[in-house]
Amino acid sequence: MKKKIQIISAFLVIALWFSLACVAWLQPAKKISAAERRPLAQMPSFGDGTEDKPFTDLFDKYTQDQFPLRDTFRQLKSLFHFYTMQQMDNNNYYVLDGYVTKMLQMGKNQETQLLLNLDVFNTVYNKYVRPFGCKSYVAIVPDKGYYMYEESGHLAPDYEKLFSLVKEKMPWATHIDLTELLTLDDFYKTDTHWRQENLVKVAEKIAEAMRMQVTPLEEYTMELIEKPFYGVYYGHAALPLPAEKMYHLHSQILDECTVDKLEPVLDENGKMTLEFAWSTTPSPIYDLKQLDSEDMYNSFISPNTLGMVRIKNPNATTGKSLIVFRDSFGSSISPLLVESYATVTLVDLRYASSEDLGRYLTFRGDDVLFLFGTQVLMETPLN
Amino acid sequence: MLFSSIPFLYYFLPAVIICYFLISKLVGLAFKPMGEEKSYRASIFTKNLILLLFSLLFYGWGEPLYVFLMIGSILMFWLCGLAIGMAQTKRWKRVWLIVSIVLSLSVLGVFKYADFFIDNFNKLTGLNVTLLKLALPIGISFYTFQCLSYTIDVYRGNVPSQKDIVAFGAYVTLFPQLIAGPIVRYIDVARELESRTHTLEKTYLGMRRFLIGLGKKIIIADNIALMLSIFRQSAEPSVLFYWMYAIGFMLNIYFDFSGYSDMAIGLGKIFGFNFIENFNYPYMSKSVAEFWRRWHMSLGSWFRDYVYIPLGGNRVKKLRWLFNTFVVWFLTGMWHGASWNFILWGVLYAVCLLIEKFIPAIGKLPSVLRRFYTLFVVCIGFVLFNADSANIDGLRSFNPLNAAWNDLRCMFGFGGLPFVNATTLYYLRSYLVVLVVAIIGATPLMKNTANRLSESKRFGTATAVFGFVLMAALLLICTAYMVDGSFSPFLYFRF
Repeated sequence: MKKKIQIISAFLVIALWFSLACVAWLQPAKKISAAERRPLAQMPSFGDGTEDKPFTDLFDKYTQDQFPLRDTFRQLKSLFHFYTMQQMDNNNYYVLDGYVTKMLQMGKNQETQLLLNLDVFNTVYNKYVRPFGCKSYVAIVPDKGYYMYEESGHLAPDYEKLFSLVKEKMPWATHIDLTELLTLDDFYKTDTHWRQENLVKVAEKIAEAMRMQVTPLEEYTMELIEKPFYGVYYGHAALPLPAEKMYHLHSQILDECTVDKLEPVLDENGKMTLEFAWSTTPSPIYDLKQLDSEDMYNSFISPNTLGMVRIKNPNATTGKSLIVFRDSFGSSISPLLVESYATVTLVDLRYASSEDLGRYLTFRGDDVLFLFGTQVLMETPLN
Repeated sequence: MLFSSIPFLYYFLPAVIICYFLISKLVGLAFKPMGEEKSYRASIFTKNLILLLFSLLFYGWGEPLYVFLMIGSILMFWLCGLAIGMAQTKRWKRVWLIVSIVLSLSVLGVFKYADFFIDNFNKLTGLNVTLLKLALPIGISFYTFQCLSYTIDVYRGNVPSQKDIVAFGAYVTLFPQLIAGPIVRYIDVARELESRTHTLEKTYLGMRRFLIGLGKKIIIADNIALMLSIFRQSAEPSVLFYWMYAIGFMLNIYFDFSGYSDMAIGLGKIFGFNFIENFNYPYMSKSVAEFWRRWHMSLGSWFRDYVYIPLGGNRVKKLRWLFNTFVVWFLTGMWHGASWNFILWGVLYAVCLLIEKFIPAIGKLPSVLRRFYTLFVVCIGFVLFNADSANIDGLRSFNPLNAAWNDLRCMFGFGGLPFVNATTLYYLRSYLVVLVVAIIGATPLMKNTANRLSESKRFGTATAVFGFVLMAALLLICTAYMVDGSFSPFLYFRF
């Protein structure tokens, strides 16, 4: 009997293994992973290999990316990792009460990057802000881990050190503390970002510091986006987490604002030149086409490749302008700051260079706000 | 190509298995009209040829240029073996044996040790001789020793020379054990190269062994390797973290290496070969001598039979015996790597073995103490062994002996580090289950329990069913880890 079971076992395991192999060999290659929001490696040809990345490495990557039921297997690994092996994080991602975040740490590299980025802010201040008498403000958005690590027992950066370094290196700016104002509920569960519908209080606090006005919460209407939202961490964590709801805020002022982006100028043949100009065909405040893209959060104002976007408010009561140096957190909150400004220009220094700002922006006594998340400050070089 | 990779498990292995069984069967059928004997010979020849070709593909996958070195080695040893077999006098047999030894060790020396000697020569003399900077052919230490076992055994008359170059080539390149052992001696597989059987039971046992090895490698070894990598990059080490690293590496190298050996043995079984065991729960040892009878047994027995005993072993005067012991362990250390920390690691074992020999009272201590002492020596030895891992920036000026000394100082509290900190506690908590499972898995407890249950009338069937569930679960979970993209190179590849 035991021998019979062994033989049947051998057949069944071989059948399972060969079935997966057959599907791996024969199934057509997928182009994109919706869960991971990236293109998937395609079958390389022999000539594609280089010294650094030989054909064999490219083929290895292809077989991983195109393996049948890839998302299911990644989920299996994640579940096994967390629940069977009881490990605290999976590839540095962890979950608390359905909220997923990346476990950040402020090691030597991260501290160096933070200091370099603060130097970039100082360059911007010295070159553009101070000479034109602009008032400057800084608001650092804590990552979700700030609200999770103590309860979950995970590692976290020395936030106190981080915030004090920002204060120390940017003494010329008015610091707006958002840490006490925000809670974990103000963030998406499966995304890095905060929920726009919870940001009116943040906009009010920023406006209060700037002595400007914003639309109060009761004057907004919330539009529920029908398509369920899976944030960027959903794919990274690879856990069976439920989808979320995304809302866009609307008000009369917001709905009449328009957005234009800095774009390359095309010549008469339609080819890109080295010149840039603001687009002549403005768009509405929310880019609804992005709701069908890999990242629905891009439906809030997202950067173009040149990193400069401008919101024009035809109903502004003043001629003032606000320049927001920001990362993606700025996309969802900047529309909530437009009420008192004729123009709100968003500059993403991950794409735009601080050296070129003078070509496209004027700083004539405008308000300048630096709005960045802790993760970008520690991990992403700004230009 | 790694065993623990999607290309191997789902592309290469199914292809070679299909070709191996199907094509050889068809060839056998085609030759059947010429008689059973010819049909069988043709079938075996086809099997060996398929193994040879696929093994060369396997090797060339990681080292396309060094396939030619491999082919050259096959030719050289095959010709030397033939020459030894055909030589009429002992003198000429010895000549051809020496040719095979000198040529193979020269190749090994150039690729693996030349830069070590040049570097030390430069340091001693102050000169600046240019380093060769040759990439180390994967598995060169393994297949060189395998081939040397062939010519030596032919010389000794233990086995006739192999006239079929395809069979010999299949032996040298056999992909299950080509790059990571066990060191399979020709004499152990000579008969199977000419004639081997395949049964469903062997296939089941081979698959089970392979999947257990895969699980050991991916689920345990690679997981612990992540912890070791985190440790090396941590800006906040502590004394406890250093001990977690030391014990973690002991477990990592055991599960990595024994897992690979299990996979090799399992694959060998599927293809009809019975490879020798390479590990026998080494961390259960009560002495260093016993440890080396249980750890990397194929290497230990190779050095015993081809170096230690020819030098006279322990049947010589005491001084000569000391010399023999140090030579063997010096070479064992060097085999593992062209670096002083490996040599010192080998010498450490020589010293411990001699201490055990000269102080027989050690053998009379309670077994708990003896186990503790053995594990302690092995732990310290592996800290020395793995000193290279501290060179995270890949600096040429890195000194592994200094790194090992620093590791040991920090382990014993002389590095000015706190005993424990938040980072250490976090990673201890995170890796606790993996470490506990690894510690239990390093003992025969699970195997003995499984065997007892399997043999019992009450639980025999349930155990067999559980065995199937375990195999399927291991296949799926290991696939899940591989798909998720953790890169997991085998530790012993550098040898």
